[in-house]
Amino acid sequence: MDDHALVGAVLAGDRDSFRLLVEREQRSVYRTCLRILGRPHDAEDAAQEAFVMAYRALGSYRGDGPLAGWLMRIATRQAFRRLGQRREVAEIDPQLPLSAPGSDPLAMALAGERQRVVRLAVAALGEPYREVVAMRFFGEMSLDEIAAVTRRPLNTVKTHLRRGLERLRPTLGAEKVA
Amino acid sequence: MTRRPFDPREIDDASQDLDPVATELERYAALSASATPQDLDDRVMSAIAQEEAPRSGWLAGLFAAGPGRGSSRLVRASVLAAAILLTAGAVLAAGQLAQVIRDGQVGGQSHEPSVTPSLPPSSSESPSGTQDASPSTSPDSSQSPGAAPTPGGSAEDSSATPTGSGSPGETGTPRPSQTATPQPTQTAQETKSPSPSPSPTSTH
Repeated sequence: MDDHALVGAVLAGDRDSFRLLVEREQRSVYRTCLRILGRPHDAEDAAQEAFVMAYRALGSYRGDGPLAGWLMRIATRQAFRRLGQRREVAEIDPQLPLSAPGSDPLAMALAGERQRVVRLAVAALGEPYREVVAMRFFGEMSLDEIAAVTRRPLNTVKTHLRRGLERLRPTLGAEKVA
Repeated sequence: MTRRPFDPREIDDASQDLDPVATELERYAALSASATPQDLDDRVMSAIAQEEAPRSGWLAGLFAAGPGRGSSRLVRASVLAAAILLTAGAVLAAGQLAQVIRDGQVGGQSHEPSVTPSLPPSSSESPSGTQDASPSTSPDSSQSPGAAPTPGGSAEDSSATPTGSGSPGETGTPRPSQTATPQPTQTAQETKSPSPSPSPTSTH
């Protein structure tokens, strides 16, 4: 079922059609929220809220871009909103999957701290740079998809991404983070 | 690695100065990839079951906290309410303005006729004068023979101002000064008081 047919079915009252969208996109939505929030539990809540918001606003979907990108934008905004509401504390979430080798506590601590620095640096970006950077790297969307979803010219999106990366350079320079 | 590795050509950047930053972001994204919770779809659908059916059209974007603006539902509802109030106010104002204009036109048309009944007012006051002091009203009675019955002319006293203003002076002079003097002052006051009402009609 393509995006328009799915939206039409849901708007016609078929809620089960929305389950198709959930099953299709839950992994990418949850993964994006997790990259923004850093905590699986928060990411799960944010993903659920994003789906509910998308359901409510489904009638406003104009088909400018893929439904997945539209949903990803909602999830990104919701995750950042949730991140802004919570108190960020320096902690290592034991559930957070790390590629740190073995169970070396020091390596885990360093990896956790590095992830926290990246996450907070992106969250500290101003809009529209934060949104574009998050959708590109956390949501793994192409610039064409971002341009379609945000209804901005492609060159504008490129500029936003470049400026966003430039603003991250002082914080995410290799020698500082690694 | 992520599903879509970053390429500096995406942003037309040949200098590759931003590569370390992009690499760091990709490394972070690859590390924080995680399996989706098993029951996420069930949780979502149970939450959806408690929701109303989504609206279609522009109302959906207005009432649902969609991705467009990021503003809350309350703000959007407030904006809608303000827009409705402004529209209603504008319609009411336009209606009142139209009525004022219409009244002005009617008043302009009735302005001339109002001159004709303008005599009764002086007579309506003069009758009181005639009752109080018949001598002073004798000139007025000559003016208001046909208008004598009009009691409601008080509203039109305005137009009577010329007559009234003239009548006190005239009535005062010929008639005995004792009786006439107080009455002209009264009639003058009375004729002045209604005079504001004519001024609007005259302005129209």
